[in-house]
Amino acid sequence: MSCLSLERLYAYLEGEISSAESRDIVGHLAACPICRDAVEERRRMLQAIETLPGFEVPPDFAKGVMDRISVAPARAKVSFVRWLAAGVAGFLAFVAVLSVIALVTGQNFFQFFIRFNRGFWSYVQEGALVLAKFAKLVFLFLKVVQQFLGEILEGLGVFASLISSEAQVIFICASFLLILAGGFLWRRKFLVEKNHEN
Amino acid sequence: MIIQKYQQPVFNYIGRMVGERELALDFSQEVFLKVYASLGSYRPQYKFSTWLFKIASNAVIDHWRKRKVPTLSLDQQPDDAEDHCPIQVPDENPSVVRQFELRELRQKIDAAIDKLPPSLRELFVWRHINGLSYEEMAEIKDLPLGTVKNRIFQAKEMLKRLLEEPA
Repeated sequence: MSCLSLERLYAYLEGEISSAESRDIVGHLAACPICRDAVEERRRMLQAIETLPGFEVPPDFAKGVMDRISVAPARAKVSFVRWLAAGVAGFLAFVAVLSVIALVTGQNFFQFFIRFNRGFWSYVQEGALVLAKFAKLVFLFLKVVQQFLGEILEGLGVFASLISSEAQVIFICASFLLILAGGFLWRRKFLVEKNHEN
Repeated sequence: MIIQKYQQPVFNYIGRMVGERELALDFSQEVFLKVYASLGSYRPQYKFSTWLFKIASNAVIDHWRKRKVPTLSLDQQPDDAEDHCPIQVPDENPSVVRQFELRELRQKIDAAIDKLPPSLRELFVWRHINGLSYEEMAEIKDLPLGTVKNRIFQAKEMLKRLLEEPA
């Protein structure tokens, strides 16, 4: 029998081999001092590891966890009540500010609301107009992109008609590999920069 | 009770992974809170301890990501021993010299385990301190069985080299 590999040596020490194999190893160890030393060194190490004492868990550990579990739902309730209180306080503050403005400007409180209402809706209308213009710009941009892609595909179609089907396959594969390589290099560059930042 | 049954293995695992006793205690509590909050997603066809260690492992990985302390180079000297969890050596050996030798060896092993790269240390701790099977570890980490065995083998040989280094 040849000398033991380290993997086999550990398998022997941890009892993960058959009894027949184990007998072979015992026979080999009796005749081979190098393997015997290697086994003994690792046996001592594994025995020391397996008798390492565990970390002492404090006696109140479980109670601490249970306390935190019981506090968790109560916190959620407090949080909701706080949100509700903040909302009510905010609304009351808003009404108070409006009342003060109405008193200072000497206007009827409801007239002030009517003017506020009109002003508010005019802002909404202006906002909607801006959004509509932005949507139109996006639409135009997409139309340009569509035309651009159309031109490219037509160009590729003409190019494909000029070359053989084998050349077409090679061209497609080469393009695909080029895109993959580009993506890989970009990702690598990005990751390297990120690592440098860290 | 689940906490009492699993507190020791979870604390042993997290203690070895994060190094500081107080942090490990806090972390272990967090793991049990997460387990409590996720009990609804536990599927009984899987072993409970496997599911629990998966949660613990994810918590440790999150901690490393936040703290950005993933590895300790083997060229560096270990930090002060004060920051590490204390170990208690039982007084079971009759000889004072033998007791001292054993204590010294355990302290060396303790420091050497801290020096293992986290990906090896985690599997090593599960195997040789928590006593998990290779199959359980493969399931927890979603790794092939061969990879798990190979990493644990690497960890043991690295540990042996570390123990041979002069103090």
